[in-house]
Amino acid sequence: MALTTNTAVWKTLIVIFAILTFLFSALFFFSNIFLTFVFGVGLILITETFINYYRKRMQKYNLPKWKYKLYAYILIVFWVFAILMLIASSFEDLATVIANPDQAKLSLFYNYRVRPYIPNIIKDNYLTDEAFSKASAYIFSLFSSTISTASFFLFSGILIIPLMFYLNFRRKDSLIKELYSLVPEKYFSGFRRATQDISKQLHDFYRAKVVESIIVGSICCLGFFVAGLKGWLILGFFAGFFNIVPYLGPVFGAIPPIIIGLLDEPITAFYVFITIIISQLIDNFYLIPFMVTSKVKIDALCGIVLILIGAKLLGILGMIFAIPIYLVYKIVLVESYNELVRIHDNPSK
Amino acid sequence: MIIKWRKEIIQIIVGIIIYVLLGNARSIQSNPFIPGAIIAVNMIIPVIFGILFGRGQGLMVGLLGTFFNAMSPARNAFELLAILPHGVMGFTAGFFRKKWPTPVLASTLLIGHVLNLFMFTIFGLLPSSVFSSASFYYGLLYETFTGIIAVIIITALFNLATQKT
Repeated sequence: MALTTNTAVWKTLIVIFAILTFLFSALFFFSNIFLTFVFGVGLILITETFINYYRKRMQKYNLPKWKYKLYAYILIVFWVFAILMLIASSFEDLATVIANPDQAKLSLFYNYRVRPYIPNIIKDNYLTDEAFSKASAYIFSLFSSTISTASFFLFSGILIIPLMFYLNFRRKDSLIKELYSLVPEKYFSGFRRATQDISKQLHDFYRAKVVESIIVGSICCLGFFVAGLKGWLILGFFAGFFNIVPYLGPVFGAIPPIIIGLLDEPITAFYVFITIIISQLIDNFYLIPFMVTSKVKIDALCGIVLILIGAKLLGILGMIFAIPIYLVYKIVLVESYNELVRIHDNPSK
Repeated sequence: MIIKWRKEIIQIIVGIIIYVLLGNARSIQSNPFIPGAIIAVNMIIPVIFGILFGRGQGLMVGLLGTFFNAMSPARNAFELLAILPHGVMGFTAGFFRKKWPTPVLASTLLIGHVLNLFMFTIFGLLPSSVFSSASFYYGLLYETFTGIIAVIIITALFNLATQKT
């Protein structure tokens, strides 16, 4: 179908584009709060998935309401307890490695496996005691800034996320109703279609990314366990979590387990490296083309270009949100175009 | 039909690979209650495959996984005798998958342990004096309980990740 030549349609589309851009710019300007908001949405979607799964499983038993609720509370306690136990034991393992690295093995590994391959110019100019003290000061400052950022997220999360949960589970329907009542009648069908489409596409994208991360995380957990890595569970979980960031995420996720492996036994680090390579091969050759891209109906090349643009404009955040933002733009602009053409070109309809 | 068979064969192969990998894992610890044996983390795999995919997959992963593990660097006499018990355990979990809830299905691990002990005893790998010690039963219960928890968590996560919206 040929595009319209009606200038009113294109002018309105440019205004809509500008409004969307302003909206996203504002969100990225307040990126800390935006991230907390996105994290809250993620938690709400996970909770909803659990609730739907529980409802589906319990439907066949036809239980009275009090039993239905009691079992739900028992399950929550069980899951929280199991997760806390697993995290605690994993951190305990990690702490033993970090507190007592095998110095003899490490220096043997460094002197015989690493040092011979470092060019002399680097050894003489950069690997000095001063360079090491600068590097340790940098790591310390990075660590402190990470802790301060994490505490900011914790506090803003405590303030914002419970409110989001309340609004979603108690007032979602009335809020949607109020929003729809503000839309003029002639735009109503297009507006509803656009919001439903955005919600579905973002939900599908989020779901595909979560499943992708779970699979990559599970492969890493299995591989790290086989490798004999201390704290395999928590490190595998982080590898899966960082996989959300395209291209850079797997590198961030690989560094901690390799360092922990090196601190324990160099051969463990080698097995960890192999595990990460296998998980990335499965992710890039199977999960991304057959699961993520097909779910959100984006061409693979278009996905790569979007991520590169996102990275250039907004850094890591841009890489993570490039595809969801593209989806919102696409749906809003296509739906607006269809509605505007209907209104301006065929005013009688 | 061919696609269905291909899918089942892939599931079995994946199950066998995971079973053997776990059997050879460097994180595996020796069983403090049964001398010469290890804490059999990989026993949960036939049960999980039985619950998730059916009796055929549970049986084959149990039989072939244990067989290949018995041929792997982690081989020991216990593993050879465990081939049949693990097959029966996976088959049972798969056979009742639509009738029983997951925690009960996960308890089929106990069937595997009991059959294992029976085989180890009749082939003389386990002295009968072991059965009189209370710590042996504590160890067995601990292993079974943690196994059941692991099966519940993994099957729930799998179902959550693959459920259709």
